[in-house]
Amino acid sequence: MEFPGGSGRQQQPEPENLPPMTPLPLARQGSVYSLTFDEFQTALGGAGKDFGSMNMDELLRSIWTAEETHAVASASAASAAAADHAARASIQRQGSLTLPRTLSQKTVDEVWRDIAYFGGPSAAPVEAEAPPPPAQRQQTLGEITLEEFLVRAGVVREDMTAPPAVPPLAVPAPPRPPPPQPPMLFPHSNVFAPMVPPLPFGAGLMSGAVGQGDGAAAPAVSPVRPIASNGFGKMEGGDLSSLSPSPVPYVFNGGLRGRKAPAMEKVVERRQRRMIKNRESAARSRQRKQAYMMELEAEVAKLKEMNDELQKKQVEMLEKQKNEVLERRSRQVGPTAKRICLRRTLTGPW
Amino acid sequence: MFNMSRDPLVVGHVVGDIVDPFITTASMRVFYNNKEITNGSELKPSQVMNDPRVHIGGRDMRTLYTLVMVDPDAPSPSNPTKRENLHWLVTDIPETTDTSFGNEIVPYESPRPTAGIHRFVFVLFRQTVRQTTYAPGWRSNFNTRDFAAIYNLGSPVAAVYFNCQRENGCGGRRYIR
Repeated sequence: MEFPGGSGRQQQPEPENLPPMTPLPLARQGSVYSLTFDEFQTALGGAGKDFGSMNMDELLRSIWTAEETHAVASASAASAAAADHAARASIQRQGSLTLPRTLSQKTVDEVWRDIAYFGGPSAAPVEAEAPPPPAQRQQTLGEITLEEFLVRAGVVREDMTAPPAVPPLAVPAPPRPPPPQPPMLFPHSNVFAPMVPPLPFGAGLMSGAVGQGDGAAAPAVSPVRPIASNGFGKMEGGDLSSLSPSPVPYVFNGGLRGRKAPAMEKVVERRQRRMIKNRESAARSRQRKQAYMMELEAEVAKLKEMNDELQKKQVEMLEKQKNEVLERRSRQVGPTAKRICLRRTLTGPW
Repeated sequence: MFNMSRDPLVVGHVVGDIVDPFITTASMRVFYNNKEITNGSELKPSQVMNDPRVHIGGRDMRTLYTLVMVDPDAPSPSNPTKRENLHWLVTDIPETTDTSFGNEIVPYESPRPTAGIHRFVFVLFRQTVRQTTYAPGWRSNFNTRDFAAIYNLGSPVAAVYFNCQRENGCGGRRYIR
């Protein structure tokens, strides 16, 4: 149950990557994940039972419901944000499906114990190099943020349950030598930080389960980051087309260079460009349609008005005509009126 | 003010791309084959091959007008590097008459968009005096605002536009994937 390789991995000399990364991406999410367990529990209004005895599955589900309600609440903020949340929600749901059976059935307490234990032995050696991480690991369950917990649980679990989840990860992990990792890690961290806002930890979970064909998962700082990045690397092709946020395409290029072959990168770039152009074209098309609609509405209004006026005028004209005729007739009839009136109405006596 | 954003010229970005916001003080009606065009209506190149009859309403024949017809979406709306492409330039048009009574400085070029859906805009200016206008050296990258500034034409007094694309569909995506 221990993973000696894991402890060894823990003390990778990547302190400079972790401090800026840990607070930054997590804080930026502004989602449920940055809450600690305690806060989360209170946020749920105590509706969630004591997390300790909850299954991982239930925990995840409650997080997602909280996330969704949170997303719904802030959906009005920006359409991009809503798309983000939608993307997140869908990705999270995917993550649930891939949560290994062993992990989901464990309770939160057990998972936490394992994490704490895992973090324990390496706390001392790491402390010298990276103060922030051990400090976090030594938090109690209540103080740890959901993110950290999930992240560590997701990854830690993967390592332990090698067969169902991630064979390549577990095997190369222990024997992996430290040196090759640092250079690999930089692009990972580059990718990770900017990618976090749109693709949150559901992706991390999923990628953990999906398997790390590319390897390079083992390294330092925390087992999470590179794995999550791997997940991103794998998913970016497919997901980019479905995600809406436009900052993503631009940031991606910088981070991927070391990671992907140039060919892949070009394809991705082309796809992003295509998407942007498509969007602009769609926007123009909508604009056109709207402009035409307004013109038509204006025309209709104008024509209606004209019509009404003309109708009124017509009625008036008719009236006038009638009156004129009557007048003329009555004028003509004037001298003859007497004659008419002077008709014999009564015959006198013979 | 409410109507500003509902003005088709604003929504279609004619105001903004080509001219600045203005107040319509002249009555201009453009007829292609005796059919009047309305803002944003779509015409085919075959329908606009010959120059239209542009009638300027009013009462005073002494007022002269200048008409400019441009395509701001050349060569394609997503890449308008040649904005604006000058299609027609007629000056000294007397009020109550039409373009045939004016001075055709730049002859009518029939719209032939190759990529995308282009807007074709007629902009009318009121002249203060009868003046000689010089044709620009080339049609592309014409700038209506600058033109008006150079010849002291002031703000436009009327504008109308229509959309046009290739005869058989808009000539979609090219080159880069």
